[in-house]
Amino acid sequence: MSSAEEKAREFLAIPDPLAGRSPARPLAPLSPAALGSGGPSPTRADMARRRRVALGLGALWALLIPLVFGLRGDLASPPVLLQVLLPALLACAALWTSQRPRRGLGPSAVEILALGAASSALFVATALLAPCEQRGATLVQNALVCGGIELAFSVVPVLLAAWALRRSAVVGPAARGAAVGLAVGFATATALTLHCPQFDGLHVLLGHGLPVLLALGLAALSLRRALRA
Amino acid sequence: MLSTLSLGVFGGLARSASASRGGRALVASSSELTPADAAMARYADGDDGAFPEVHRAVAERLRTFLLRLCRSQALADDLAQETLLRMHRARASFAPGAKLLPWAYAIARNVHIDHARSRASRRDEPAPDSGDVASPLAGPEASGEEILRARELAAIVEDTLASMSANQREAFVLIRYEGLSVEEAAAVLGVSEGAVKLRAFHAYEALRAALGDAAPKKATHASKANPKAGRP
Repeated sequence: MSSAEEKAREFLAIPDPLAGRSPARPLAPLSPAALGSGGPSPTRADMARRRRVALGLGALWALLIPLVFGLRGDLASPPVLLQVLLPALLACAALWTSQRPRRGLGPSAVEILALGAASSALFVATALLAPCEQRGATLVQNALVCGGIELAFSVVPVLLAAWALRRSAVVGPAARGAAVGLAVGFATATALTLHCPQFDGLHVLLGHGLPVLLALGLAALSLRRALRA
Repeated sequence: MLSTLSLGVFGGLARSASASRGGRALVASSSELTPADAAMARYADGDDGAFPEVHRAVAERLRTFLLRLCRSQALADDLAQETLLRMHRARASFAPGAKLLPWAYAIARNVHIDHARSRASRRDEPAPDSGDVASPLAGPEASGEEILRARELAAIVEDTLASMSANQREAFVLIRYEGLSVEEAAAVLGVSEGAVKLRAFHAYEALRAALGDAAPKKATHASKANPKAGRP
């Protein structure tokens, strides 16, 4: 017998303090009153419907930015298209990761951390492909305007997620909330980039990228309780 | 080094468990679903009539799991009821093809954590008594000396489990006593499999040290007196 198997047998030999206990009386079934407390319990179909509604409303909400403020004129340019499409793809990846079942218990915090790190790195690399000419007060002022709009537009989708994903995270609700926040942040960044005509790399980083991280933090904190099962 | 050692132990655990045990394997082959898993899936889809079957399948195991964590029978009963209620409310989060037990254990763990937090915030509430848990490991045909020794062992295990960190205790309890695979325990605790192995290994080392060199003999002795002893 190998040493590992011997150790495994020793592991199994640790006695169970509850073994041999006389069985307690059976646990009483839950009363209909208890089951009915706190409102009706949604089924999978109900939750799937809620998710579709929330996704549709959230997308419409984000699209209000280009619809209300107008589309930028240089969308046909490949570098600009890349700045628009990358956050859209990252939003899809974050949304997909946040809904991964992983043995029925949701994505792990490690997966979400890896996703956050990889998507941030990609976003930074793409933003820095553009020239970085803005400096000083102009940079800060423009970044604050775009960042403020993006963050403000992120609040409603986060609230929709809190409704649609209520009690859906048995494990790691904060991590799942962070993934949802990442998806919301990138989706709003996509919508903002569809409107904002500034191509400057530093502006994109500070005005469009930084609010994604703030949305992530906001969602992780605010969804932690709502999502916990 | 430590990590390699713990991986070796759990590798051996998987081999010895699959080779020797006819009953529930310690490292389960997790592909096949049980009738309870199917009942929970039906319940999640809206078949309210499936809940009694789910209740029968998990209630006792949840109560035992919570008793191991909180060390009070009355409190474990309350927390198990709360867990079942949360399972009902969160039924939609039960993914298609998922296994019931890890999902239920994860909710029970949340309930226990919430209770511990609320108790910490209400400092005047007394801590749960530990007298409910220690019980004879020996069977009815065991001699008085064997029963006494088994009680001593049970008390040592209980005290050592209570003194270790919650992370280590949960990992050890889920794998050793509740019979979850390392993969399932990792999913329940929301950490990597390596982290679970390390936590369970640390707990095992602490228990082994507390029980001393004679522990395996005593445990074997107790197991002979009661074949159920030492099994989840």
